[in-house]
Amino acid sequence: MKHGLKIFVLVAVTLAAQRLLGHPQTMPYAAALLLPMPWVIGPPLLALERRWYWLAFGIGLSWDLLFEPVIGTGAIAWSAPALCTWIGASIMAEQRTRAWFVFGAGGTLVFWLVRSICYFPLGLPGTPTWSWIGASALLTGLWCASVHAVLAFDLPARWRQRRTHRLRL
Amino acid sequence: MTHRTLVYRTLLLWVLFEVFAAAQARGPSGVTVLASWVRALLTPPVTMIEYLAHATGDLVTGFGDSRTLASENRRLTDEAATLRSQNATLRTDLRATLQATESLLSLPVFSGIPARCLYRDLGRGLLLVSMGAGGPTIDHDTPVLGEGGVIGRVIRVEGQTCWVESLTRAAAAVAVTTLDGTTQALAEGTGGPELLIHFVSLRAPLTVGQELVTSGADGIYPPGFPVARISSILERGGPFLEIKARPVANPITIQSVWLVDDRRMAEGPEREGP
Repeated sequence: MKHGLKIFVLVAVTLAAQRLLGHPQTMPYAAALLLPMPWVIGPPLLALERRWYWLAFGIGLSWDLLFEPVIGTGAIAWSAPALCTWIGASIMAEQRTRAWFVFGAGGTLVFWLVRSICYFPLGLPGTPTWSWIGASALLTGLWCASVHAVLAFDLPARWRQRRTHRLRL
Repeated sequence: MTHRTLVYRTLLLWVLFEVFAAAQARGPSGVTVLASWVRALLTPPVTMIEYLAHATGDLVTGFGDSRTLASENRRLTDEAATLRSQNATLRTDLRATLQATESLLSLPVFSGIPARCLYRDLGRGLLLVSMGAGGPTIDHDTPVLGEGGVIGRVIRVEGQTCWVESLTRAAAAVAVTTLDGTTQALAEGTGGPELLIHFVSLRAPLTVGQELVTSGADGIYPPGFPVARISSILERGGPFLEIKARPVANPITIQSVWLVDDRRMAEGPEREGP
């Protein structure tokens, strides 16, 4: 599978999972977790190429299709944390799990703030409460930190290493 | 790509996405938010243009009205000037009439029509007088009285104006008599300022300064109106005295006259005149 297609499928799976988080049978604050956030803050924190920045616009437009009443505001809201992270990561040069938590939580705050600002001139309802935003920032930050932890653990490499040990035995 | 370029491009995309979202969102009235934005943007300049158009129209209308008013004002000013001129003329006429009336207080009662002197030709002994619009018709040979006495007679009528032959005109004549009626004579114009008194016998008791009045013998002038005062009396050896007299009514300073209406006098004296 090509790399781009793999990314596309993974993003689609992430959005589908985000849709499932909003299911009535899940926990009340489950939808506050922004699953696509690692795709937005990950590339700058991993020092990938700048073209990954535009992925945030694609995620935002997809978010609009799935979760918003109009198309456009999600692209703005998702590109805002991406922009902040790209600029912030270039200044801080911090790639530890703690940085992922901070950028994930901060990016979530930026997301909700920019989304509210975009909604304001359009007269659309849907501005979340402060408790919702706080919960969303905390959960998303933890989610981003856990993603980095998994990446840092590098499970495939460890799996291959274990298989090598077994073959020697 | 620098951070600044990235920020600019992102901001541009944000604007485009926000406009795109505004084109989808609808307000309470059902109109899209983008349309309301466009309307909000266009309303002030359109309103300003409308106000400017109205102001321009009002200005043009006001300019036209001011021109009309200026024209009307000019016309009224001219009309007022004309009325002032007419008023001055009427006041002059009234003053002259009053003067003439006062000067005629010593004359016998007569019925007459006031007239204003428009033109004097003392060389030919003619006066042009006007009775004004709506005045009665005047006959030929109507006697004309002026300040103090007889001026002459009407010799031509042209509508409401008529030409008057002065007593001083050459060949003009009027039958005169003394106040006591003892001496009858004929006063004849000389073309100069004096009259010649003909056919006065050498024994007539006349003195310089004596007043002569109309006798009525000529059939034109009614009797009793002052004509002249004797200025000189000479005896040259002929059958009659050579008498010169100055007219009582001076045609040089005359401004208004009275046209004696014989028909009304025949009906009976009315106190229209003095």
